Amino acid sequence: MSQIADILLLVLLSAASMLLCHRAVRVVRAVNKRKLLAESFRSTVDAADGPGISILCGRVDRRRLENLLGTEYPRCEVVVTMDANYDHTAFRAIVERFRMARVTRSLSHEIPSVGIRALYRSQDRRFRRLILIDKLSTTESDDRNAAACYASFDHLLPLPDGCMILDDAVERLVVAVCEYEADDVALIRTDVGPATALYRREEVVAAGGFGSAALGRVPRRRIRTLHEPLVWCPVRSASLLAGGLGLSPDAGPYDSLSSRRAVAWGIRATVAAATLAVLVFAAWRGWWALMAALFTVLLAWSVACYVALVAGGAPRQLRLEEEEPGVTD
Amino acid sequence: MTEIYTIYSAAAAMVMILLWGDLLRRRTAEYVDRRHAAPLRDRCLRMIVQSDGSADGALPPIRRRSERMRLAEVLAELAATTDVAARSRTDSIVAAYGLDRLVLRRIRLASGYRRALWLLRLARLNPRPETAQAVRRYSSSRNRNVRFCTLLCAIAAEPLRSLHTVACWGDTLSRFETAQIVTLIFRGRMPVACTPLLTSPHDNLRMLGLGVVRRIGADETFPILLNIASSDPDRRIAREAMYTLCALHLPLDCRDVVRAMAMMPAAERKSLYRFMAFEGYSVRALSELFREQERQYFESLVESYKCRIPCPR
Repeated sequence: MSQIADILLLVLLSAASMLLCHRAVRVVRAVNKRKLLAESFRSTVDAADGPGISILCGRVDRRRLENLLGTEYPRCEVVVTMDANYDHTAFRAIVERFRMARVTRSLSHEIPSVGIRALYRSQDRRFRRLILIDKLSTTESDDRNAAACYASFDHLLPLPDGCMILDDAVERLVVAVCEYEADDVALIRTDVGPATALYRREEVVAAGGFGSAALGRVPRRRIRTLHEPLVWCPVRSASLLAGGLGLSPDAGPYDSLSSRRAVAWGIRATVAAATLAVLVFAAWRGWWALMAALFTVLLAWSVACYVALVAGGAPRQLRLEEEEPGVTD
Repeated sequence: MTEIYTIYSAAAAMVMILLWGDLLRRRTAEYVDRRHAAPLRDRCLRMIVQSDGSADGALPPIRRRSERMRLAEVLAELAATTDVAARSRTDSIVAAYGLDRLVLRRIRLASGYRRALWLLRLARLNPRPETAQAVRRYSSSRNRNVRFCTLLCAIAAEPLRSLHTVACWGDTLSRFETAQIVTLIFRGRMPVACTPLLTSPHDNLRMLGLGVVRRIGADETFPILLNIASSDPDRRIAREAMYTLCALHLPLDCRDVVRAMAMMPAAERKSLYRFMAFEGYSVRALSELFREQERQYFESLVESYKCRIPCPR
């Protein structure tokens, strides 16, 4: 019996190790592809005839909004949904900074949404890609539905709360959209970094909006997965441990990049040291099965760190702010 | 079983060492690149800008292979954004340092997307026909990006045969690939005329023609675009022709457009209405195209782009 259990354990550990190695290989291929596409973007960035992408987000501050508006792809817009009564100061700051003016609106009723009070567009040509919706704050799904109602383009990218978009992420998504026939793919998602997905607008409308059960039941053959991060989020304290295990590109509730990195690496090193100590103890006592399992845990930890360090990274705007404070003001 | 566990643990340890070793190699390469890329880019710019166009202007000696590889990368990056006038200087730098041979060697040793990246760089360095011939075997690669970058090399090496090369390419060009080839056209690498492209029997050439028309705003191709939109056998190209008509702000209230839109599924028509509203068409200009519910949808889109002055509070 014990032999059968040993064999089963080895088979499981080997399968886990192979899956981990396969993930590392996929991420490396995705990084290489991204480098190739970044070189191609440089010469075609003025092509104004690609598919359009509408970035949907909730409450934002000025820094985050400048990051979102900083993408160079011309057919991209940012639709922000905020409650002017609840976030009065932030709302007024955005209206003044980006010269927003209230415009005529009439709802298309494609996607059900309640509580929309007003629609704002910028009078400044530089910020013509920004749309601001004043809406009673209800649920995140309802806010996204309101943003989708006024989005101009065929693909919707709802951003997780507090996240910033990485350099070339929009262009990367544009290329991914161009690679497939429009009817074949309902959404393009990523499995590295914060969960993000680009939806076809018609799929959202057909499902009845974000948050509907139908949107969560998209057939797998109509989903495409990119093995690279698209957004960057400061992980909050509740998930600091997840960041320390290397499960997200950067970790830490602090404001500066360097302190976040220090905390994340400290936790990673502690976890690794603890695992190594137990592994050495197991080897000394002759507990070979436990030793093999701990090696697999260490391998998983190494792959997680490898993925986080190879594929991750903060947006250029934040790196510039870290290196030269005040340069982006 | 002890031996099997030990072998498994040793294999896992080996994989971990490989992972961390690769990570260290990447970080070291990034650090070296950051230190050397900016000064090298400045040197390349000075070499290109200060030349009088003759091939034997003074070039500093660069003996180390790694430095010449870095020079090839920087030169390819600059060549992608410089115009025809700087091309002769680029050619003389490539010839003086043998950069094409170095890049060919790197292409041979690489695989997958890294090979495609080096092929793209080779295409930007104005390869000779013999060089393009040497990479022709990659045109049957399993990786689509490798095949496409081989196509770019062939186009860059023999511009006069480029349309024939594009027509013979086995895959269907995506919009992004079409944009890359159109960019080559506008950097003076390919001779082209719109009408022969639009009336070509090859799908790739028609897509290319539509991309060129959109880029230069060739209004005189209006009758051909209408014909493609209403009667092209490839639905994808017919849809692209419709979008091209809208992008050029041409009149759309005609029978051919009505016929083309009637053949579209509802979702595609809505997508086109959003594009039309974004391009600034008014409701009256498109009154012939709508069904009743679609008119209300289009009106709601157009209304949201208008600003009521003074804005009621």
